[in-house]
Parts: sequence; C-alpha cells; structure tokens
Amino acid sequence: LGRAQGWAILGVRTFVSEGTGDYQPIPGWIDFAIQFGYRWISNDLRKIAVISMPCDTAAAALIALGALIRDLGRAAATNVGNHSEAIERYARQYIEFCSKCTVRCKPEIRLCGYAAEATGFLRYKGAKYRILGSTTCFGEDGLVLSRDGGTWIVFNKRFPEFQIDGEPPSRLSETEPALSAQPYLEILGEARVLPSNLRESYSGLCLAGRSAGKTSTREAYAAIHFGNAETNNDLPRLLTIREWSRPATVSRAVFFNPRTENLESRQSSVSLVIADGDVSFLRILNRREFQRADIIGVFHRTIERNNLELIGNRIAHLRQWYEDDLEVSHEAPKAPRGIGVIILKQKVS
Amino acid sequence: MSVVASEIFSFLQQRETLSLERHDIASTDFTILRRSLRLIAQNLLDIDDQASTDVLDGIRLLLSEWLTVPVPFETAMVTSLSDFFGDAESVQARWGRDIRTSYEAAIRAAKNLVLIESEMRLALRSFIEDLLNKNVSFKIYCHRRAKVHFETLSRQFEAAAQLDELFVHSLRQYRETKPFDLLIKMGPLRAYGWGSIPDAILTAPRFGTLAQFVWSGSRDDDNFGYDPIIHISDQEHAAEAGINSLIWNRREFRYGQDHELASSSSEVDDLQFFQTRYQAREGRRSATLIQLDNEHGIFYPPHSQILSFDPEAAGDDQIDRRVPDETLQVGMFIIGPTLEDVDLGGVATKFGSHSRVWKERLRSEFHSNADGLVRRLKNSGLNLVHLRSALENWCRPPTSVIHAPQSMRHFEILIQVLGLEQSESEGKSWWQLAWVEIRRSRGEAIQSAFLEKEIVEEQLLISLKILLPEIREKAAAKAGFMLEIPSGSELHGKVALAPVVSIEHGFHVPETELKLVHNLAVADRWRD
Repeated sequence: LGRAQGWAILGVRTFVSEGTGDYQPIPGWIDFAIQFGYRWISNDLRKIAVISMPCDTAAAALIALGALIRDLGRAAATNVGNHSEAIERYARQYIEFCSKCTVRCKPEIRLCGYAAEATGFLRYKGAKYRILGSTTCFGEDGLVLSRDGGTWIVFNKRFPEFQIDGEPPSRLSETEPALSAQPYLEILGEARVLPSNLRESYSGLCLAGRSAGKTSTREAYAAIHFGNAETNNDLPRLLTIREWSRPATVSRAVFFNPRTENLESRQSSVSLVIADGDVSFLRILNRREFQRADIIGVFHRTIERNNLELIGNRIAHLRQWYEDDLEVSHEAPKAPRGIGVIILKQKVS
Repeated sequence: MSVVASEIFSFLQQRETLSLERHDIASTDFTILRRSLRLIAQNLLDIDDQASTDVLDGIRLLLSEWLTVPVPFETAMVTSLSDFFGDAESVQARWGRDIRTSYEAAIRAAKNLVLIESEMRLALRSFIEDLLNKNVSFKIYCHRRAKVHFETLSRQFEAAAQLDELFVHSLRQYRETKPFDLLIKMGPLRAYGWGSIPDAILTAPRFGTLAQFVWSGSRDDDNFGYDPIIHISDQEHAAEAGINSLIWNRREFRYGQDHELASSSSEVDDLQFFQTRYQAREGRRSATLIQLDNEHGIFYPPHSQILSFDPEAAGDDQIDRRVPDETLQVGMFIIGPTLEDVDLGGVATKFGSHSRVWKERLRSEFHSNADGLVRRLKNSGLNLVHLRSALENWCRPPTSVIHAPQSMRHFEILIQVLGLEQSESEGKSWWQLAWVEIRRSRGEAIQSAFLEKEIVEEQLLISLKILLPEIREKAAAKAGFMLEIPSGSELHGKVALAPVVSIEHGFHVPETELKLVHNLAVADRWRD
C-alpha cells in the first residue's frame, strides 16, 4: 500500500488491488458495480437486470457488495423476525420427513418438495444438540433435544438463543464481536449503517455463484482487496457469506451454488438475487424460490456464441411479461464504456 | 499472468472508436475456380450416392480451407481435384455434360493459379512485414492447423513468432490476452465452422484495429458480433441507452483484379452455401468437438454430460459428468472414449461376418427385382430421394468401411425388408449386431463400447472412485493415460483418460459418428 499512501494525500480513502499487489483508487467499473447494487430500488414490480461485461470480472460480487451496504441501512433487512419460525420449520421437516427418509440427500430425486436436507441439529452457545421430537408441556410448544445422554425440552420462546446447525446466528450475543461498519463506509462514504444490523444476519440478498461452484467462485473474488494504510479486506470477507468470513460472524448475504443447485439458507424471503455468469443467471431464472425476487444477471461477452444465444433467447422470452424500466435505468449509475445494461420490469396488465 | 479487468476497461476508455479494415483480395482465376466448384456442388447435392457425397466432401474441404487459410497455391490443388473426380470422360459418364464443363473450367483455373503466388499471401506478407517494421503490437487469430501457413509467409515473421506469442487460436486464449494494437484475421467473420472467430472480437475488443483479409465475394455472417443485450433492443434505443458504447469505423481496401466478377458470381457465399445447403442434411446433428491431442478429437451432441476428471476439483467431485464449455474445460480429462479393452460380454461380432450375409441377400434381391425392393423399402419408411442409387452403393463389398445406410433406423428397415430379422444370443437382435459391425467399420472397433455407454458409465463410476489416487498421480503429467480396471469389477479391461486440448463448436455430424474418436483431418469434413 505504499503507493496508496501517496494517493491518500489527495484525499482518496480506499484502494483496490485486483490480485496484482498494486493498489489504485477504486476504478470506474468497480465503482459502477458497487453503486449499481447500492442504488437498486426494490418495489412492488419485480425487476430483472442484465449486465454484459467485456471481460470476466467479479462485477456480480461487487454489485452484491453494494446491495449489502444498502441493506445495512435498512431496518427491515434482518432475519430476527423470522428466526423462530425458521427453526420451527426446520424441526418439523426433520421430524416428519428427513429423519425417516432413505435418500441422502437428493430432494430433486425424492421429490419431497424441500430444497435441502434438515440434518436435525441445533446449536446453543456453540454446542450441538440433536432434535429428538416435539412436545407440548404446560400448554407451551417446544422441542425435545438430546443432551448428555438425556433429554432437554426447549420451548419456542427460547428459539432466538438457538441457531440451526450450519447456518449463521440470526443475532449475535452481546459478548460476540459484531461486524465492523468501517470497511463498508470507506468504500461508500454516503452509506447509512444501522448498528443493530451489524449484529444480525440477513438472508434477503443472495449471490448466485459461478457455474464451477463455491470454491472457484470464492477464489475468483479473493483477488480483489479493498484497503488503506490501516485495513485490508478481500471481497469474499466483505460479502459475509457463510464460510467465507473468518472468524465466523453474522451473514448479510446467502449463497446459491449453481453447480449443486443448493441455496444455503432456510429463510424463504430472498428479495434480490445477483447471478454471476450466464449459466448461473439462466439457472436462477428457473428456480421456484426466486420467482418473486428481483434478479440481476451479470455475464461477460467472451463466451461461446451458443451460450450468448441462450441468454438472448431467454431475454426475448422474458419480454413477453417484462418491459424496459426506463425510470430505473435513468436512475442507475452511468456504465463505463464496454458495459451493457438493460433493466426490465414486470408489465402491469 | 492473465489480464486483470481494469486493464481492459482502461484500454476501452481510451478508445472513442475502433477500426475494422477489410482487405478485399480478388483473383479472376480463383473466382472461376470457386464458381465452378460451387456449380458442381449444387448439382451433386441432390444425388444420394457415396461417390457424389465423397466428392462433395472433398470440394467443401478444399474451398473452405482456401477461403479461410493463406494456403499457397501449388500443383497439389490440381491433383486434389483430379483425385476427387477422375478424368473428364468419366466425370461426364457419371454426372453429365454440365458437370464436366464446370470441372474442366475448375482444372484450367487451378492450373493458372499455381503459376503465380497467391495474392492473399502476397498481401498478408506485405502487411505483416510492415507491422513488424513499424513495431506495431499485433496478433493473428486462426485455427491451430492454419498457423504454419502464416509462419511460412515471411522469414521475418517466422523469426518474430519464435520470440513472442503472436497467435490466438481459441476463445479461452483470447480471454486471457492483454490489450494490443491490431488483430489479423483471414476469411469472413463467422461464429461457427471454418474460419470461425468469437463474436467477442467485435463486442469485447482487446485491440484497436481489426485487419480482416478476405477473398473477394466472401461475406460475413449477418449477425456476427452478437450481443444478447443489443440484439433484443432496437438500435435506436441501444444508442440512446449507450449500450456498450463501442463504435466501429469500417474501411475497405481492395487488391487485385475483377472485384466485380467475384461479387457478381458470389451471390451466395461459398461457406454459407455449404453451411445451409449441405451440412444441415438429413441425419446430421449439431455437435461439439473435444480435441484430445494434435491429431484426434471426439464429437458430442451439444450439452452432453460427459464423464470426466477435473484435477482442480476437490475430493470425489473430481470425477463427475460435465457439460462442454460450461463445466467441462480445457485441462480436464474425459473418461472412457477409448474403451477398446473393456469386455462388455455382449458385442463379439467379428468384422464382416454380418455384412457378408445382408449384403449377399441385398445383392440378390436388387438384381432380381430392383423396382420391387425400392417400393417395399419406401413403403416401410425408408424414404431416401435417390434410394436406387443408395442401394447400388450399399451392394458394394466392404472395403475399409461397410457401405450401409447412414441412419440406424434406415438400416433396421432394410434388414426387416430383407427378411433377416432373427433373434440372437444375449438379447440383441441380428440387425443390432450388424449395426455394431457397421459402426466399428466407420469409427474404429474401439468405439462400439459406447453402445453400452450408460451401463459402462455407471460401473465405471464405481471403479473410478477406487482408482482416484492413481488417476490424480498420472494426470499430473497432463497427458493421456490408460488404467487397468481393478479386478472384482463387472467391467474387465482398461479405461482411458484423455486431456481436453480444446473445445470447438460449429459442426454437423452424422448421428452415427457421434462419440467416436476421429482424426482431426476427417473431422473437418463436418465443420460448418
């Protein structure tokens, strides 16, 4: 960051490296991507944006970063309200279906209607407990957990203290360190951050990764670092996707793996999906759980013709029910040369 | 180190406009040669016999190469034509006076061409040497096998190519190329087939100038430079919204004589003519070529799930079914294309034993009542336009191949009509075993294993998990290898892993040639 210190004299606060080790002020295309996500407006009419890039980039992740920063300022962007419900759904799925199922675990083969297996474990203060069943005691509903060779009845009102195994906590305890707002504010100075959101997870924002899977997606993003003389964060860490942030903390975005077609969340409230690549974009358009969510698909034009045509055909197909959203297009940041953007909104019949 | 995105954006930002220079080269004799061969092809298209098909394939290969590669004009041009057709008398005897006239015109033009150096090579040499002298950073986009024809243009260029990577052969290479000044391309701009080049050169340029060298009369594909976003918007809106903001200035430079002749006689572009009229014939399917080494490749239908090994993946995910260009990439290994030693316990027909039986019956029926046989076959659903000629061809004794219908369904009908349908051991009917024999003759015996593909793959998956440590070790050498299937498996023999060298789209291949290993020179006959 030696050169960056020189820039700092000129008032530049944050610098970017694209894996070369050379830091520079945030370039136009990265600024565009972050601003695009940050300024995305969700309303009653579903919207689908398609962004075409002249080369392979991490633009999808950068748009997700912008949207994540936007959500840090939204009071409604939290899982806390839905958390107990999510645990109830998870427990019911395990008790009634997964614990009896003989297929491990291919919901698409079993056609059970679930997107992913419920393994039947909850976590409390880091320790793992198996769900044995449900119960009603003294007029209160609860779950029976296995503990130290015996059983433990946990009533529904205590669910906020528990988390589903493998999922981020819905809210951190007071003793756990919260997310830091600083790196996000250094990237987008005008952003507003609610302190409560730094301690609470949110599953309304989904990043659909590259067709090669989660590990490859992470590697592609890890080249991008934001930093200054004091801090340095790579892009995956800033996205707070589960397993990408160490130490584990709240998660403000969930991951959809187009390779395994697995959505790493049990929340049913995804409102914005950002897809990285043509394959990912086409897959999520077909997914049942995203039919009400806004979608931003990002692809690059250095792909084979037949893959370009698949996108073109799909956009043409979408135009039966969608039209250009000139208003939002006008509000969107101006794209640098080489980037193409279309934004469609649902037609009002 | 590959290029980073900011380099590309910075490069595009600096260029208000980009330049597309079309260098149009005309030659009277070359125009006459092309026109004559195309006239012959137009006539032969309606004839469904093997000899005509072979000649058509030959003409298409020659024309496609001449139009997209700077090949020198040598006496081999004339001998190639003579080899395809034979002498003028036999051409007339077989196909009539019109084709003979065209053939003689083609031979005369070819003989004239070999007397002088190709105008295309002259123009390219002069252009490239000028770039070298001016120290312009440039690259040439061409097929791997066309490289040698560029290298031999000029000693100065050959020396420069030793020092620097001046060739781009694939989309993947292009994607990883840092910005440079100028790209050279010979032939029309087409997305698929002979001389194809990615749309990205227009929609995602890494250079300021595209210098395209074409024989006069060649036409670019109408929708080349396809961008899904621009395509679906009307142009006015695209301009208003500033989509992409890439502006190309086009200029044309003409060399040689008789551009008018070339243009007027080429109402139909040769490559487009073959692509639309010839490649899309009955029984041909769109296919993707996976190149396995410098000489061999294998065709798969689009979006095939191919059993493969990815050295970069984690754990058990290394072996999986993958889709070419989507999840199957260069550097991975495809599994099983050369299962010559796998004993499936089923297909054990010796070469020729079945063909001798059905061909003898066919000859006998054909000679005793050809009209009746044709009628019976048509009534049964074998509806080839020139069925009688086809039957004559199928009567021929086996040579290196067994002459037989191209489609399996037609073959089944033929055997049924000949009354040879009878059951055989191991649950296979007689015609199926005879068909395996034909496939073997066409695509090497080793490929018959693929008839049992699905069973094999399921069993292979189990065996491959056991072999995984050994596969990882051998794959590190990045070359193909064979492994013995462990004893105890239901499969016996060996399994082959071949590295994916390149993935090419833009082929139309007879159904029967899919999933067979082909020599690349042979594979070219099905390139669009």
